[in-house]
Formats: sequence, C-alpha cells, structure tokens
Amino acid sequence: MSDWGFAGRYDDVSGQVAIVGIGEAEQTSASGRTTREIAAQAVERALADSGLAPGDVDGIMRAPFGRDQFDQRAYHEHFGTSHQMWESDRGGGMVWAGTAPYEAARALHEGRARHIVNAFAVAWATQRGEMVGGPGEVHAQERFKQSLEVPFGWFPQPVYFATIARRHMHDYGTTQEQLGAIAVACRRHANLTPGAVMHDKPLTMEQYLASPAIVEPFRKEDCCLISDGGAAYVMTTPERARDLRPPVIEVAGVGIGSASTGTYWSQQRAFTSTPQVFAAPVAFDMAGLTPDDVDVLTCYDPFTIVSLMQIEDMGFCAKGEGGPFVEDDALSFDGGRLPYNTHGGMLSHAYVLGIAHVVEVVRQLRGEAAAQVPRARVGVYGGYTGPQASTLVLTRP
Amino acid sequence: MSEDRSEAEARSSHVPREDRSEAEARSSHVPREDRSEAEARSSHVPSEDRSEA
Repeated sequence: MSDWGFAGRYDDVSGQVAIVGIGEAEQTSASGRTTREIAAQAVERALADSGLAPGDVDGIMRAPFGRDQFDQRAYHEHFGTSHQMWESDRGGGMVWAGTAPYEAARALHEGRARHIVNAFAVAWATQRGEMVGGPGEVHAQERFKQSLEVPFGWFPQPVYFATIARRHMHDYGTTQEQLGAIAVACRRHANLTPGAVMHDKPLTMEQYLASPAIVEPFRKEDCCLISDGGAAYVMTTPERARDLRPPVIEVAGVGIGSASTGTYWSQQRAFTSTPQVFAAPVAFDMAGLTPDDVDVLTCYDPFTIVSLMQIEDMGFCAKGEGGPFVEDDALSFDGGRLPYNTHGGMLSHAYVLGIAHVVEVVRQLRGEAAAQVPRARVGVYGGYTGPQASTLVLTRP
Repeated sequence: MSEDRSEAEARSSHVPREDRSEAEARSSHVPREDRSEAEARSSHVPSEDRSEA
C-alpha cells in the first residue's frame, strides 16, 4: 500500500555538498542556558572543527519554528561579524536536519553562499519548570486535536505512539522484547559516548522489562529524553572541502516523503508506516546505493516504535519484520547487522531532534566515533516529523 | 491568549503555534485564512512545518 503519500521532487545533488565541520554543544539535563547560548557553542565548535573563521561562513540555516533559534542576527552578535549572509529557515533538526544539505546544495550552486552552517538547539530541560503542560502543550492548543483526538484519549505524544506500537504488535507480532532491544542498544551506545546524557546509566533487557509501563506497551525507556543541547554542521562544495580538514564527507543522496492523507497521525491510512516509504528510495537512487550498502544508520527516534518502523520503511527489512530484525544485538556498533544510533539517539544521547544524529554519522565516516563501526563508508540519517520523513545518505569517497 | 501563555508556548513546544502558522503560510500556496478549513475538508494538503513527534 503506497497510495497514501508521495516523494518530493528533488534534483540530483549527489556529490555537490560536503560536510566539513561538526560540533555539539554540551548535552545536559537542565543547565540554565538559553537556546541561543547552546546553539552558539555548537556553532563555535563546528567552525573550529572545520578550520573556518566566523567571517568565512556566509550562509546560515535554522529551524522553521521557534523564535529563539540561532539566526543571522544571533550569529553576528555572538561572533562580532557583520557580513551579509544567505539565510534559510529550511534547516535545524527533525526532517530538516536531513534536507538542509539539499537546500545548501542549491545555494552553493547558485553562488549565494560558500560555507553554510546548519544549527539547532533546545533548552527544554531548563524550560521544563515553566511549562504548563510539557512538550505536548502545543498539541493541546490545536482545534483538530481538541475536537477529534483529546476527547477519545488520544493525547499526548507517548499515547499516539504507544497506540501505533500496539497496532504494530497486533498486525505483525512485534514483541515487548523487540522494542526493548532498541532501547537497550541505544543505551549501550550512549554508555560508550562520553557526551551522552545517559552516559554511565546502563540498561539491561531485564531492567527494561521490569520498568513500569507509562502507557502500554511503553516504559519510560521507550521514550526520548527531555534535555538541553544542540549541534551544528558546516557545509560547502567538495572542491572547497578538499582544502579543509580531511576526510571529505559527501552528501550522496537526499529524499523527502510526505503523507497525503493528512497532517495528523490519526488521519494516516498507513497507521504503522512512516513517509520513509517515499523518501528513502529517492535518496538511495540518487546515491546509487541500496540499504545493503549502509554501514551505519541513525534515525530520529522519539519512541522505540518509530525506530522500528523507519528501519522497515527505509528498506532494511521487509514491512512487519522489524521486530525480528532488531533482536539479538542486531543494532550494536560492534558486529550488529545494522549499527544503529551509535551515539544513543534521542532515547539515550540527547533530545536535540536529530541534528546530533547527522553529526554522529559524520563522526562514524571519519572514523572518530566513540562507538566506532569499523571501516564505515556509508552512513544514513532518517529524519522524521510524522507527516514527513527525510533520508540523507552520506559517504566517505 | 495572554502574553504569558504566548511566551510559555514559544518556550515549551516543538512548534510554537504562531510561528507555525506563518511558516505554513509561507510554505504553501494555500492562503493562510483558508488553510485550516482546507485541512479540515481535505487531507491532501500536508502541513509541512508541524510535527506529531
């Protein structure tokens, strides 16, 4: 069934963009920092990694939401610069962490910028104390949800995705232990990653299964963190990249998919699928690669079931076989069939909405990750919002 | 909506409501006023800048 969505029409940008600098802010629990302070730290570190000076960067990308993201004005205030910058709100995290390189490719090709930084940060752990209803509050303000979802108990996010997990279990026989395998693998990777929020907090399958359910079938370990943090990456052409720090990591493919049946998950006809069904084939075709070529995968992972569905929908296994596929250390960096979220993901590394996932793929391809996959040459990020998904294929030529 | 509420939303959510509406208006050819009705009538207009996750 694939009549419920569509792939975006993307020009071929394979080999037109390289990621030349990566940086993470400190990923923490409540820190007292502002979003822009966090983003500035990430951008500083990405520039330092690339070897570029603040005045060399003439393009900046940020999320299409949030008033306090790191925009051109914030950049100049922080670095004391004043030059003209190309600016785009088609960046940041989530789906856009995967599609920002596509937008950057167009800007680089058209000569609107030479070096572009994409940044995203949150201070939600610090702000949590001021929240009225937590991250679900904005959903509670939507009339659609007020009228057609909340009255039936379909609220907030853990409930949506627990229901989807239940349906996946019913349709395909997916088990609690299989969801747990994802949580345990991510925690193991976070325990190997010094900057992860859940570093030094081991999780065994026994502990996972003994953890009380918060909304069946989810334990808290099935759900992402709320944390302060951020990340950034710098892009330029592969030609310019060869004058910067090696190795060059190239964008080989990008794809985006959208559901056409509605904005809200309750409108989805394919209840246990994601728009990766549409995004991934475009990205792999552009790259001239297949899922079998992938050495390391990271996916936007708000809940364990979203990891499992994306693994299926990107073609790493058949639909419905994600449960058996992730069993038995299959996602481990050291010998697993598909090393997955090797920094810990949003479940155990940090809740920075996917941008740190892209940074982790670059680290893996450079050979600099904490939980390093041996000889990684092809890495993929799966971005996600619900109604949209993106696939970004990176390679080390 | 009070000023405090508006600020709290901006701080506390993935996609602050006001920004999302503006972003949606920018990102599609559906006039802003008609967007919510269009969404209600038909689901062929995915809202690009919001998230369920």
